Amino acid sequence: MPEVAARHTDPGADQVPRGAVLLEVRDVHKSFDAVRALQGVDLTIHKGQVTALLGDNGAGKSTLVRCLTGVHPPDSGEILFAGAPLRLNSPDDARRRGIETVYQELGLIEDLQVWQNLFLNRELTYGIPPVKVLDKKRMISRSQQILQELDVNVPNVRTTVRRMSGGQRQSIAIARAANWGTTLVIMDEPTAALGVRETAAVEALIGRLRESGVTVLLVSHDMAQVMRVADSAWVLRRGRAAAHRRIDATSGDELVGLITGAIAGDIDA
Amino acid sequence: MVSGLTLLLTQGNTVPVNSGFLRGLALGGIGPIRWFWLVALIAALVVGFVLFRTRTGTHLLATGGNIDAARGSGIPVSRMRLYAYLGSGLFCGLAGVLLVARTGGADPSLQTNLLLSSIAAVVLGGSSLFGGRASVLGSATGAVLLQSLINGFTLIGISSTTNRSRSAPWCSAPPSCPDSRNSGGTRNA
Repeated sequence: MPEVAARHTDPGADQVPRGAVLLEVRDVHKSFDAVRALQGVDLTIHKGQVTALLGDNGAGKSTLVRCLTGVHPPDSGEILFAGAPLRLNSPDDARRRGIETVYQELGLIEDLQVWQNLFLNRELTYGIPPVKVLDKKRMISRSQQILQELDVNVPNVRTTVRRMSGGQRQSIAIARAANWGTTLVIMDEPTAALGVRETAAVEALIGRLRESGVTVLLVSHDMAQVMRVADSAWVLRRGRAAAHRRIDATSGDELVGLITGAIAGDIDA
Repeated sequence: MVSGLTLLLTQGNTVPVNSGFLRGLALGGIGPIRWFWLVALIAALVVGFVLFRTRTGTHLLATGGNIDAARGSGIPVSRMRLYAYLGSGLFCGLAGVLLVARTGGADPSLQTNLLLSSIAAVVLGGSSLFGGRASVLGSATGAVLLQSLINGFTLIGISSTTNRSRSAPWCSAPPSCPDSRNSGGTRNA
């Protein structure tokens, strides 16, 4: 396995100016036996913005995310990343392009310390193979730096994740994704299990990510959150992108209507 | 399966082993320190180093702690499990050789006693039965403690059946203790 110690930047993605199209999904189809999860999705994600992906259960959000993160390739259609076709054969491919995901289960190891989780599978080492010793000092100080930059409230990076609150864990998972996800950070319901204060802290973190130029794809059921945090929203309905709205030109009610089908989307003629 | 094979091979009898090397291993040492202690110390140091100071060790701990999260991070979990079983087998083999050296023969009936005691020792020391948490110092301390207990029982003449019933509760108690924090990992041999 190649050394994944450095942050992977995608040179193509770096060329894309802020605000321009970073990712383009063209007519993507994906079926699982009889279930047609995606039936021709067309959408675009702009660099440096927070794009929300909305849709009811079964609309195809998770399937689309899995196509973007290399879990399974689409059956047909194209995904263009910085203008070039994106062909991902595994989640590792996606990671190498700088695409990171924060899943609902967070993917943290509870009995490992914060810095160990931040550097999971990307540990800094020194020494000659096969004997490679962990460079704990560097990882600990770099972890402190990462969390400080994102203003995450974790007093000591040497405590185990088990002792952290839900909001802290969520912030650690997001900080990890944001640190290694130099091109795109995908978040799946990041505040679903959090209380009001912790949700506010995570939303502030997402805001800081946007300010530092990180592109975020936010999958959420929380309309109020989407209205607070996102720049634009795509609504999926039955495997198709039913509508696209800029957040400053829409409302929570309109988004809900588009999700349920009460309001006609862009593709419903 | 292996214990069945053992019984088959030995026909249930103890197989005497005559080896000068093994006898020297059991009886000799450097000064007052017997070889056995040195071997145990080196084994503990090696395991401690691998688990807590190398990348593979961290990956082992991660796989034991949360296999889905580990897999999601790109850690080759199947390979990690293979390493865990390989390591366990290696140290079990080593322990077997030391045991044969100590008792002068291969006794197939020893396996049941030692199995329970060894698990008890590791769990007493703070490692988690479910994986994710391990402590080399803890396991070593647990082993010494448990063995002292058993030796003590023998010394004051308590029969071996009572002996077994006394060490059994030690096995069931630790899992019910919440949050005994140590470092993390997969089960030691």
